Amino acid sequence: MGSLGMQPKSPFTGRPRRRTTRPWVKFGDQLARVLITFGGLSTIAAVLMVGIFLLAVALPLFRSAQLDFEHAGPVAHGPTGAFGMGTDESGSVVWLFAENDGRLQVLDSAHGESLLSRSAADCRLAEATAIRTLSGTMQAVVGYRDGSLRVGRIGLESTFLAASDLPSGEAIERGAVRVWQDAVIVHNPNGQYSRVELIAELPAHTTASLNAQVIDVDITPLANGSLLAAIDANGRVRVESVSQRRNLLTDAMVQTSTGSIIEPLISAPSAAKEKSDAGRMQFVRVSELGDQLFVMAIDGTALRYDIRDIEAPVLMETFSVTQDAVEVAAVARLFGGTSLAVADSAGSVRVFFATRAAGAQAADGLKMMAAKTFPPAHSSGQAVRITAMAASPRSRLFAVADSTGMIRLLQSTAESTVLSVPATAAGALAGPASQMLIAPRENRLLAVDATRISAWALDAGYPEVSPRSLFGGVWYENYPAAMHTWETTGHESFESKFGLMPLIFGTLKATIYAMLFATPIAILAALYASQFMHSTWRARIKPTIEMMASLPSVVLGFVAGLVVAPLLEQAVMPVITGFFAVPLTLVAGAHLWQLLPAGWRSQLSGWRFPVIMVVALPAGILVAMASAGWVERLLFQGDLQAWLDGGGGSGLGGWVLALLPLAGVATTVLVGKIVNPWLRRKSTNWSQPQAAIVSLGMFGVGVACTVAIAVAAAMFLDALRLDTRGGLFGTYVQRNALVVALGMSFAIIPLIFTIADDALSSVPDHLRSASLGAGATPWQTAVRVIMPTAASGLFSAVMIGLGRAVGETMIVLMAAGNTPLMGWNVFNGFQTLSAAIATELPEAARGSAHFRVLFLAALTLFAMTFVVNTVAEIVRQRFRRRAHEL
Amino acid sequence: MQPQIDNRPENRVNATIPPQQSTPPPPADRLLAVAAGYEVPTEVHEQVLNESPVLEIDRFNLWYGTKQALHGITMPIPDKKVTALVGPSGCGKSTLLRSVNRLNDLVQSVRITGDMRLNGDSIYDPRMDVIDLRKRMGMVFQKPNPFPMSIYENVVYSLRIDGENNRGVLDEVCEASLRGAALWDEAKDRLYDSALGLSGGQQQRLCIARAIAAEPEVLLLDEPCSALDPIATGKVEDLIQELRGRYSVLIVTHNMQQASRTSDYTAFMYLGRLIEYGPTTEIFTKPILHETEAYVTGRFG
Repeated sequence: MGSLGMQPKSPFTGRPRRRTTRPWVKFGDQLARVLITFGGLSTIAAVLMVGIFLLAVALPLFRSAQLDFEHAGPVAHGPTGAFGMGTDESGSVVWLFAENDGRLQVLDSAHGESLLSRSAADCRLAEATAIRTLSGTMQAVVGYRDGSLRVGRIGLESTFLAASDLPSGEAIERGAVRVWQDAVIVHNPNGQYSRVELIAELPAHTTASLNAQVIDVDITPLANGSLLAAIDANGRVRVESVSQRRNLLTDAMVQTSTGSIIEPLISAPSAAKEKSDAGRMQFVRVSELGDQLFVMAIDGTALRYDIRDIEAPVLMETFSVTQDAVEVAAVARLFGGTSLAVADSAGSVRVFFATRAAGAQAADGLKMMAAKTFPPAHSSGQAVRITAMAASPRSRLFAVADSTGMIRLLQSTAESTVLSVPATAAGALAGPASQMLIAPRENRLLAVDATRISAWALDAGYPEVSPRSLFGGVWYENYPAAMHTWETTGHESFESKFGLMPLIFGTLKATIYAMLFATPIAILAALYASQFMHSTWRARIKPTIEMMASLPSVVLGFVAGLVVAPLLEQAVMPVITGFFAVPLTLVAGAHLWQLLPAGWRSQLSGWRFPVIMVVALPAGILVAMASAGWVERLLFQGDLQAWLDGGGGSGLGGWVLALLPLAGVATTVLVGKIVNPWLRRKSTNWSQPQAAIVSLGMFGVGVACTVAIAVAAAMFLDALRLDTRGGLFGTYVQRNALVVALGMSFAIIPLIFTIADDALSSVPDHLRSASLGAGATPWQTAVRVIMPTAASGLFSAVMIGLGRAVGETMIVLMAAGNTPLMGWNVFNGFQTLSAAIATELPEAARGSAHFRVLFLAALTLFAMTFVVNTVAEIVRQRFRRRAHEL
Repeated sequence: MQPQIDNRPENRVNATIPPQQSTPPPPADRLLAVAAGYEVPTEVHEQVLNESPVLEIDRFNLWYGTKQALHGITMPIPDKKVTALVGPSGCGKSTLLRSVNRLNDLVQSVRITGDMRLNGDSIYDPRMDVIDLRKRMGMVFQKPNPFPMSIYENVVYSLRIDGENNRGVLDEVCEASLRGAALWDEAKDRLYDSALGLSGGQQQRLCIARAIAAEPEVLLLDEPCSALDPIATGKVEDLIQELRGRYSVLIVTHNMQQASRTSDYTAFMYLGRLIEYGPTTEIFTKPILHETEAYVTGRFG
């Protein structure tokens, strides 16, 4: 043979073969290699890019706030007398009124130049002792030395200008301002021009006056007017609702007001305290909705009135806002709601709001709680006293200044110190700030001490969002305790609740319930189809189920949410009994099949599947429907929904339902371990029909045992006063986890089924033959040999189903009710990360905290599916290594 | 290496006359007659019929769809003896073997007539429980096919499926079977390791241990050495020698030397028909038919 090697042979096929590879084949090979490498790398890059993009949008949430000193200038401001300050909408221009300075002046807030000035008398601000203005509406209330009050408007009104409307010639740089006629032109940093006019209208006195000098005032807007509160030096409080209406005939504004006086309130019983002024009421605040009035004394005694009937305020409760006899230094109403930030002379700040707390004594069931506490900035020996406090007009951010010259920005929702800067450094202020202001856009912070005014450019970032507020419980305003809450829209938008936990929980809940429902069905169906089903039937069933996978999820969601949910609500009990009755009927049917004569059985073996579908399944459904009524009477007092609502009845029924599957498993294990071996020894000489009758009997006894065990355990747990309501079960809501599980199973069963069926079918036939040849039944073969061998495929089938369930959007969006609740109740709704993103992202303002938090939710979802898939792949590889050795 | 002589049967058949309409006399060569579709008698040596049979195959026919794979096989399998089935590829040896424990039931197009009797019990009786039937036989396949579990669990599989969980019983059976399969010394220190870690020869002996753990009435070996190297083959053959006299063994093999070394009786099959069946020594030294002689001496096949 060796001698033949080198000799030229005559071609056997009559066609000589080229012995070099053609260049284009080599080229094609190279091209394929390059394309495949490129494609693979691009896929990895694309996935990474998605992650990076989500991260890039979400990451600014965690950037820290910045406060940059801009300028400081002199300002005349004595220690007494009224002081008012405000800015225009863009924060470029500031107005300032100090009573002992005697004029209302307008400054360029970035550089401190004086732009306009009007005398106090012109503005009817002479003799003013207390001023409060609202930044948006410019509504103002002013109290005077003689106890009288005026309401009106003070502030800077901006009107946008087109570039063509600008005054002659000279260009204005961005961020700069110019005086033009009696107004100021602002070219704000966004490039817009606006004309800013100083408004100071205080048309008339209000109806009633207080007796003495007004020391504090507050105002809140109402539908067509405002609600104001004022307190005088004697502690008398005036609350008044002022409304303006335009007279249709004369076109003149008519101001009407109603209100009442609350007589001097001295909190402390001791006269000594009265003398030292500590017990005299000094601060007055109204809630933003105008339904509550808070009056506070220096010593921290505080009163809450219900002023919904403005002519008859009702005292609701007396509480204390300070501890250990320290004095109240400043009070600020935070943006929205009823929260009051109270700073004390020891340097700490507490945020109070009314909640429905246990132990509330007030008639309205509310109680003022110190929900947030900010400790003093310096805890060293030095006494720190809060000297000024200002709340942001657009968020729960507020600034406090203390006697050490520090200015801190605090965030109430996150209970965090956003930043802290020394106000006296770098030639800003000379001493501790006595007044502060945060501009409406939170772009500027202004502080005033006895002689100077100072401005800082502020970039607050997203102080309300922190890892703790996203993933930990947060005590939101008016909530009874710290909670995981997701609420970003609606009336409570003043304090958006960006807790991601309810969404993560909802995602897990949807996944777990859907998988609990779908996995057993899909895996058992695949096992049946691949191992037991007659091949002709299998050839029809498999494509049908695979076709289910192509149903658009929006259709499934629609069907689940709008067709299944209302039907299910009418038939909860039959569906629940069906969970037990259908499998039991199928097993009973299998036992009855064994009773058929042997000849029939072998002849009919190809028709097992249609017999199951046409006889056993409908029989199971009939049993479920027939038994629903008396099960409901027996366990749930005849009305399941009322029982779920907590409407009386013991918790027995719920426990029986919850424990039946466990009892079933326990019984099966007991029978398999103890009874079956014994029976097998006994039955060696029995004929097949005898054995079949005995096993049917065993099945009946097993079912009876299961029910008995479940009822016994349920009675025990019920006797311990435990109840499933509030846990696994609870009030029935139409769109609930059960509906989602049913709808989602349509999406994931075909997926799991197909992959599991492929995995089970691809188990080498020789293993099956070996097991069957050893005398194992097909079922033993399936469970002991086929399933362990196909474990990697089954696992990846389940994991792919899981991945689909975690990311599923449309079905949960339409069928889950979108209520971001945390609770395992099967009959209650939830909201998933994906559904929240789908519903809210189109409405979220670009760049807002909401927008970025939704991207963070997307990133969380991405991470969840990534982790699920990675774990799945690792586990699958382990299984696979084992399977590969076959 | 010898020069190739093209004596493959299909080529030889190709050279002969096709079956003709006018019923010509069958060719003198029985193999040619079989190929041409003629019935040929089976030559069964006298000695076979004197043995007490464990398994009687009685006029057994089998079809895959419309294609007949076995033609009227009638042969008794002697008790406690090793019987080899030899014949060229596709002659139906494995089909016959798989019919004994009804593994062919799994193939849906299969149709049979005739019967087999295991110790007098009809295998194809409709009332026969196929699971019980298979518990009375052990089978070893061409390719080693241990289950993906430990060596120990592989051996005691047949006991496990019968619900035997008594550790003592299982341990005893495991050791006895592994010793019986001459694997004990190699496997005793790694009983709980995966069976897939064994070499091919060890795996095949494990499969034999698994089969004999069930105390079968008949042990069916379907070309047990075809996937093994010569050393492993030698070990398995030694094992079969040791099993002789304790078990009734029916072995399918392609290897004439193996058949002559290991078996007491040999049956020669050709295209679904049993051609000659007798004691191994006679089949290999003085067969009745010259066709058998041609095959066993390697002149064709």
